[in-house]
Amino acid sequence: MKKLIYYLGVIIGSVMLAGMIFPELFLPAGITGAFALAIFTQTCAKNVSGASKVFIAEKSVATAFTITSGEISAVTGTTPFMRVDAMQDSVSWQELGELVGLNNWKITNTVEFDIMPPETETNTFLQALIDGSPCGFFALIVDGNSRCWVVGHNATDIRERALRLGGQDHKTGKGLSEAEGNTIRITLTNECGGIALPLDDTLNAAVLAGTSTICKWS
Amino acid sequence: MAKLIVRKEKLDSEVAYSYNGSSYSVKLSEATQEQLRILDEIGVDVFEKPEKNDKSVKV
Repeated sequence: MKKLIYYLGVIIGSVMLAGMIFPELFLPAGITGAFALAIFTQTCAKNVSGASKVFIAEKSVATAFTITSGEISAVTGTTPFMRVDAMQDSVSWQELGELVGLNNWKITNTVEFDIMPPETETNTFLQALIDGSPCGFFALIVDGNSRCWVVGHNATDIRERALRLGGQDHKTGKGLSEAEGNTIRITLTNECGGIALPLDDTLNAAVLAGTSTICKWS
Repeated sequence: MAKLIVRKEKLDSEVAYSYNGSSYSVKLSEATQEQLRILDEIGVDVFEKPEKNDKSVKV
């Protein structure tokens, strides 16, 4: 009898220990315990501000994202992300999270970039953004650390709150001393409930190498 | 209709997709054949390729 109690104790203790280490194993389907607070270890690496490249996909063309361990491992669609030759150091992405009321978390994404010069080709590009805005866009941003992020999709809203064309701003400027004269600033924006996901290392490397089939290069 | 089988290395993944104007997310390890057929129709590349020397006869 004593042995039985001893073995039962060992089994129950092991199960409890497993529950503490791997809480996901004991949660019902659909609920994840993956985001319990844990230590955060900072990588000792150079951090580079800014963004270097932007690609834009129409939501209707990028039909699916495959997510593995919190990273996008595949994008379905026929070369959905279009290369945009934005002006150097004009690309930026802001992911601004804020508390609404007591319990709601709202994230506002703002993707901005400048193109030039005002021409028929820029008009065609702008008109495509205006026409595609009601359905929405996803933006692929290459940040200063060479990490690629898909903005417009997130794990909370899935694909329901894609980016829209938030604004276009074109001024001629008054003369040669205005650096931003005759450039067109384009703003894509959305409000959503989840943070953007990065590409996984394989897809990230392919985008950086200019060989990924998720981007239309030429 | 042949059964769709998800590749082993993709079983831990989930797919976020649009279908009939709505967005869905499905864990591949828990997806039904109906959901897998939709993913296949969209073109999501997560399935085992059918055997080339499959000589089974469809009746």
